Amino acid sequence: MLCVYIAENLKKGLLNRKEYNKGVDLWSDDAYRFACSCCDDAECCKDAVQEAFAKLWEHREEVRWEKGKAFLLSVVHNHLVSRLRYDKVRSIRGNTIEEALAPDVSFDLKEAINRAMSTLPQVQRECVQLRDVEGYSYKEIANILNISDQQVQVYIFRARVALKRQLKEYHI
Amino acid sequence: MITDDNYELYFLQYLEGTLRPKERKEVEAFMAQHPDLAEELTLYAEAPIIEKDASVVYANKESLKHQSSMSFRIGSTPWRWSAAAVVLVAVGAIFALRNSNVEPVVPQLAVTRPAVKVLPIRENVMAEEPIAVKPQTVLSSPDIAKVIEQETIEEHLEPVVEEETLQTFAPEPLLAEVTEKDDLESALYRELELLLSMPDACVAEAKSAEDDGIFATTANYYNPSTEQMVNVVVKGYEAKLAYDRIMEKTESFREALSVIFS
Repeated sequence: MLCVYIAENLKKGLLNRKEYNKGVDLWSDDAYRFACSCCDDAECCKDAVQEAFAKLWEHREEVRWEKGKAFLLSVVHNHLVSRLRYDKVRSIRGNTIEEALAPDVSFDLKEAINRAMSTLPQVQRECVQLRDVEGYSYKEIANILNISDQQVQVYIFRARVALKRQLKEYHI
Repeated sequence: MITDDNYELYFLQYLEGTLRPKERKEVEAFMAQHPDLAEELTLYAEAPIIEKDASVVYANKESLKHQSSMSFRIGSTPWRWSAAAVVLVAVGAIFALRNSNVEPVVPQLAVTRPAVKVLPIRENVMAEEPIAVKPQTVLSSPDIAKVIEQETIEEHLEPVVEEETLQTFAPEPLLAEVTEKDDLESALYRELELLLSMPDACVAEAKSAEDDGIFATTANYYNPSTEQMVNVVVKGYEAKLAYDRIMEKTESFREALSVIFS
């Protein structure tokens, strides 16, 4: 009976403590980066990451190793969405297009992209971040954000078009 | 059909080349009719790819990690206990296996240690018949056998099945000081190796159980050098592997014992 129990768990690929701790090393930066791409409040981002790992630990016997990072990002997303609703603002990041386009600020391409990204709706930023930085497929992004993969494609399309429009304002 | 409401999806798939030829022609016709929207195709294609910002890191990773717990709980659910296996290996068996041509035991040490016994394996875990052990046969030293006989051998040789009996058998255990383990060389594992390497160690008790999804293995043994019972507990994933290892070793002992005492 015990052998069966052990074999079943190994077959499922569930997380043990060692794997969880390894996941902390591998995924905490990505989870934090994902949060920071949508939120300027560092404490809020840290809270999101802490909550994500707390839930991962809580559900470690249900989460497969290869799904661990997506699980974390999903929790981070939910945390940020909750925060967004709580704040009742359009963007947690808080930049308006006018602020982003402030003419007296000098910046390089990276900064320009960051500023342009900050004006996008949160879900669009998340989609682009998950697509470009994390390399997820549309379907995987849809699962993380709990939306349809067609919505993901539309959000990414809109985000890139808006991004390029703003960069053109900088003559970039 | 492409409309103002769904053109973005078609545009994206058009650029990614995932549309069928018929749909591609529809997109091209739509662009011809809506040049303002067609511009978005160009904007999309020229938009930069967002790069990973390696400067953003989560500083306090250690605070997110979990260390192995030394606490141990066993549920009272009968099936859990039925899953638990109790294995007692007499050092006499080890003694007999390892010391058929090894130096004799120091008599003074034998006097101070508890009696040796072998408990039968739980029948629901190990199907074979319980092993009856005659200490006089196991121990090569007549002095030790004499000491054991004085401690009512018959009582010790009675089959022990009930958990309460097992719990009263061992003296109050000393919880071993064990720190974080990185791999299978866990506390239990090391202590088990130590136990098996000691020709005059006395009793080993190993049992394993699951409670609320947490798997735990515990082992007791008598360390003659310190004259104390040592109780080592490993919890979590390592416990499963440690238990497996114990069972493997136990099986080899059982085979050896069956040869010796048959």
